[in-house]
Amino acid sequence: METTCTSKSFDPISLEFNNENVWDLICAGKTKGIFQLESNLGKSWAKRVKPRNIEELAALVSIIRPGTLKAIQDGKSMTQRFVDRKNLTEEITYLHPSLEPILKGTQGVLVYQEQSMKIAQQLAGFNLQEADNLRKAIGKKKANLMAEVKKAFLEGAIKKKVVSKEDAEEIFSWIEKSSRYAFNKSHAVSYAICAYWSAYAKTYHPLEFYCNYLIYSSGKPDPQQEVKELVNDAKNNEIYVSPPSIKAINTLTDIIDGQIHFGLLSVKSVGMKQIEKFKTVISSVETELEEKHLSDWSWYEFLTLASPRVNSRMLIALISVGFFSHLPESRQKMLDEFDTWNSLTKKEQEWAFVNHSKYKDVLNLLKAMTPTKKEGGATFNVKRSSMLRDLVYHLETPAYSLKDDPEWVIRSEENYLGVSLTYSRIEACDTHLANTTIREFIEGKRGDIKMAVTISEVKRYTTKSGKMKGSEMAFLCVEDKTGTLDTVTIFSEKWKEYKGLLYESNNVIICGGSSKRKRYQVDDGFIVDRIIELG
Amino acid sequence: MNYRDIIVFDFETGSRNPYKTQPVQIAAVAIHGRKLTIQPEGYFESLIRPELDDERAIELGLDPIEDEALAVNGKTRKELAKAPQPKAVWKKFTNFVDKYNFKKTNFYAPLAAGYNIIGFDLPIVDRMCEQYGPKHKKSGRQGLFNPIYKLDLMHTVWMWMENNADVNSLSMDAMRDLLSMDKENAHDALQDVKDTANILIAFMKLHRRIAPKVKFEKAFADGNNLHI
Repeated sequence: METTCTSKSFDPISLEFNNENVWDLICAGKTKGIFQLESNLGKSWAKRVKPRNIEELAALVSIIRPGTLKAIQDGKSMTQRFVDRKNLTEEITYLHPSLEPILKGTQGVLVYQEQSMKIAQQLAGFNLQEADNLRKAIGKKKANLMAEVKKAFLEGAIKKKVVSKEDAEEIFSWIEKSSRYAFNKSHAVSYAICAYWSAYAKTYHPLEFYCNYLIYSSGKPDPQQEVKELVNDAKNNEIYVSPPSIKAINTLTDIIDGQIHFGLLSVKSVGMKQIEKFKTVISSVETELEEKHLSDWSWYEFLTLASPRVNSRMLIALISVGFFSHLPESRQKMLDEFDTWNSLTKKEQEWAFVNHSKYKDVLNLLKAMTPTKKEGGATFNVKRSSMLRDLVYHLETPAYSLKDDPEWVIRSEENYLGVSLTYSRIEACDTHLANTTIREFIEGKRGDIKMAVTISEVKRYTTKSGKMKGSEMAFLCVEDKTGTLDTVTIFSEKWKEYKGLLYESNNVIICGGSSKRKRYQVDDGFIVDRIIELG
Repeated sequence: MNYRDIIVFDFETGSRNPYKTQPVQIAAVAIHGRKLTIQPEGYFESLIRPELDDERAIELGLDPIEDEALAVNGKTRKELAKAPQPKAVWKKFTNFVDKYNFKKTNFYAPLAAGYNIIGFDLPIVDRMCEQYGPKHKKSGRQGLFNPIYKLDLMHTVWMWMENNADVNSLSMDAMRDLLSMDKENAHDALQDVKDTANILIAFMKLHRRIAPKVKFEKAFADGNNLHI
């Protein structure tokens, strides 16, 4: 068995920023897990900006910050202006020709603090110290300092005569306004380099990328949501993550035989101490069973020999996520038998431990235990004997079905791992009306699209402008067994009609087509026209 | 707001006083709270061994088992004597309900539902939880079902039928007649809960169809009325 999560490495310092595949990944908005670009905002603006070099990537990182998005000039945010100019849908203009060399790299938009410093040097003759004072005044919003700097700027501009006094005043007011959003370029470039490195890792070492990202997702504000998004993103890249398994007891998520396996530590209710104890118990029982490996034990052997020494909550969690799924027993049956086992007294469990090999399963073991000690059984008195008879009754005649229904498996895995790995909800439905999978849509299939999906997120949104101002619409994130799509839009009228069907975990067929954002040559969004609920 | 599952349950008992009666059978059906469908594998049924010795039952503060009650639910003393004790059955029932508490918290606990449960079955649940658990840590009340919402189908039926001159009784049998439901196996706990679950689902679906058409927002600002 080969574990390789950290064995592959590359030297980021030696990378040049000219790998077309890496830029393609960023331009396609496949930026889940990419430094600074993993939010929905990052994904959507990456597709519009389409950066092909570090300079453009640094600009992208800078313009998707809140200040830039909110800085409106002539009814358009600075972010939008940058993108429109980059995509040649708006003409690039400069307040004065002298600004062109300074602002050319950012489509004529003042993005960086360093650009303000350069303007002050070129137009007002500031030395580096004075230019740095300007940066401080902008960055720290010091009114007194700003007034002093403004005076010096205007005096310098008059003296230098590159621009008129009026133009100098306008340029300075523009610099002042930029204080709300302008970003430090050296900072932005560092971010862009890190973003490129992580995109490189995702492009060329995807298994290691997802594996490590899953390990560190516990540090995110909502680890379960992060895990879900990563696993679904991995699915889009045909990488499937497996639950922890008896075949590979790894503490942390790891790559085992070429596949990512969740570690025991990824399971809710499981901690380091419990894992260490679990491993010690397993190894001691393996010795007792003459080196019989855990993966060769039967459920009955595990239950009678190991379970009494393992933390109950941990074992319930492991059974629920399919840790023992290679065994013939259903998860429900294992949980039921473990519950029965826990109803025994310590003395009765000890009797079972010693005598387990004489019986083939829990039912026969309990039947043998039921008589009192005097009668050759394991119980102390008639009362205990009667209680064990009840346990036998329910093993023989279960009060409820012990089959694993997919809905329960999905919910259990979501509860303990954050994501369902064994089943996709949609798999249990009749999807013959659908004609496209999510992967086919992502890969470019267009036309009259009908996708059978499970809704994984609904984001309501109140329209702020246009004819439908004030009305509610929604954005959906949907998934099927081939992947996940987070660019589904349902406009107000359709939202009103179908909102009763649009809730998390519902299975539906979404009918509609791709959204055409010709301005950015992006058409990967999906506009919902009709929804059919699946049973 | 309904992201919890619903457990429709019913006790068959040996007498009529919910505070002293001995349950002899329990059955339940789990409903998917959003889809309003019966969960696959979502059925529970078990006999419960009561105290069949009348004097011992009275000593324990319980009603003796009445033959009339057994005649209604079709159970015999002989078969009940072989049934598991209440504690064992209750443990299995709590495991069954917990299976549908998908976040394992009180907030996500399934809603208790049934026919006349507020007046009859829920007091029995309280007694069983008091004796065998689970109990809510702070309130000390039953900790099995959702502590706030309870769905008593009889209340829903009353609201729809209270002005219907053709309906004289709200018993389950009267409902079966009215809705032309099969009465075979009626008063078997599992059959009763299946019937109750199906009627509940039908009403909830009806509500879902009608509710979006009702103008709730600011309805009382303009004449204290709700309009479709």
